[in-house]
Amino acid sequence: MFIDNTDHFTHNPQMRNLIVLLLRYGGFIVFLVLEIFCMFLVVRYNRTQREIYVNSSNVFSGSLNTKVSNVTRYFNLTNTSDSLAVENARLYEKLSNLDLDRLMKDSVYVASDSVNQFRFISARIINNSINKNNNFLTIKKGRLDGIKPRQGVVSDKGVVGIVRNVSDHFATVLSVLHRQIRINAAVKRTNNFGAIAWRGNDPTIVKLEDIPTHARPIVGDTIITSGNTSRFPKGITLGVIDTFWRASGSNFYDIEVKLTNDFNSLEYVYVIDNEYIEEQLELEQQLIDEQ
Amino acid sequence: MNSDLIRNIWRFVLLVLLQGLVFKRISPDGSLFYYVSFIIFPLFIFLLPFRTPTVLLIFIGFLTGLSVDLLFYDSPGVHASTCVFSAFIRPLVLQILEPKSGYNLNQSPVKRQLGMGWFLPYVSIMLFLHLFFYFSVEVFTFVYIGQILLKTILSFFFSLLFIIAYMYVFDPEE
Repeated sequence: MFIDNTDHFTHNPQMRNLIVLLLRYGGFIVFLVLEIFCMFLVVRYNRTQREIYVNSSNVFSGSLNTKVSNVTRYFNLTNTSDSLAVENARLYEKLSNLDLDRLMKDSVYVASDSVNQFRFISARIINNSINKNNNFLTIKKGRLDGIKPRQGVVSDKGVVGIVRNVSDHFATVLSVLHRQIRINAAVKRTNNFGAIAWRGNDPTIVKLEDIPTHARPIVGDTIITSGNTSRFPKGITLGVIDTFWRASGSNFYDIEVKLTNDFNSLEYVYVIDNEYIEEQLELEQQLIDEQ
Repeated sequence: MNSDLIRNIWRFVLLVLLQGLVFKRISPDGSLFYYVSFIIFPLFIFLLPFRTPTVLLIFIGFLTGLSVDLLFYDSPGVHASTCVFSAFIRPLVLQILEPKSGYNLNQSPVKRQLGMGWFLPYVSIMLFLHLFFYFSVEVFTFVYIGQILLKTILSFFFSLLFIIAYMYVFDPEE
């Protein structure tokens, strides 16, 4: 009987152990498995518990408040951006007129009313392209906001283009990435001036022309607006010199400039209103007429 | 056996419906009763026959809790985990409270069979542990242990009242 029994059990001791284990601890095992499953359900499908589970701070109300304010902040984002853009325009205006102010003090003539020459008008871009031969932007500010044709357009990172046509509420802008655009530019370090033009293809590279061979530019030099056309105040960044070379027999460098503006991600721009541009153009026109 | 099964199914339906349609509505949210929840449906688990195997007991508990969760409380897993816990500790509590003469395995742990002197401590221990576990899972952080204990104690007395009333009204034999 005793021998018989051991023989029977030794046939499959593992199986026997498993059965004993299940008989003794089966309840506990089932309990554990179901509790784990339940806790998964609790954390997965109950907001309160998930918040606590996800946020180690364990203070539900705090994290919930943060969530709510995050959501409401998101809904206010448009207003916030608009007001920031307006604020920026105001600061740009101050900044550029501050330079002018100082310039005036250094010079002989101090015109009493010449301080606020440049006005910056913020505008949101509603249409933009970078991959065509001639690229335009459309901005949501127009004649009623003080936009006029031929005004300069900049962003916080640099020059964007020149206003072409204006309606009451919209304006089209010839982007720097337009083949007809030439913008007077200067090498910031040496003050030699030339003109920027786009040759197509790469929307991040423009050509800087008319820099004479004696100018000695170096790679990395900042290119700024020269202020010669009075569409742009002097000193607005255009880009940095990427590469340059001299074609044999030429008196000018071929310079490739990497634009600081990413035209693909532009959202807000500032239109520059030069209050004295007509006066200046008129005066210059007289000179041409006299010749 | 068969009548046992039917009796328990009826009890299940009755208690789950009572819980969801009646007792859930007089539960919290009112400023007066913020800390009070009437939780009476676990009585179904407490009253299952002695001979129910532990594994089956736990599965029944799971399904009971899940039904209440999904049908009425919209809190998947909260009641289910609590009922699984209650079903798991039921044999242990029964073991502790076992009278000298032992249990009649064909019976259920009800007032009529074992008397109020046995039934009240049994149902009190089960209900208190059940509620403590439930509010722990509901609040889900022991940072608010005071709130958990307050809810447990207040809900315990109010729920116990109804459970005792139930036992007197229906006075089940098994």
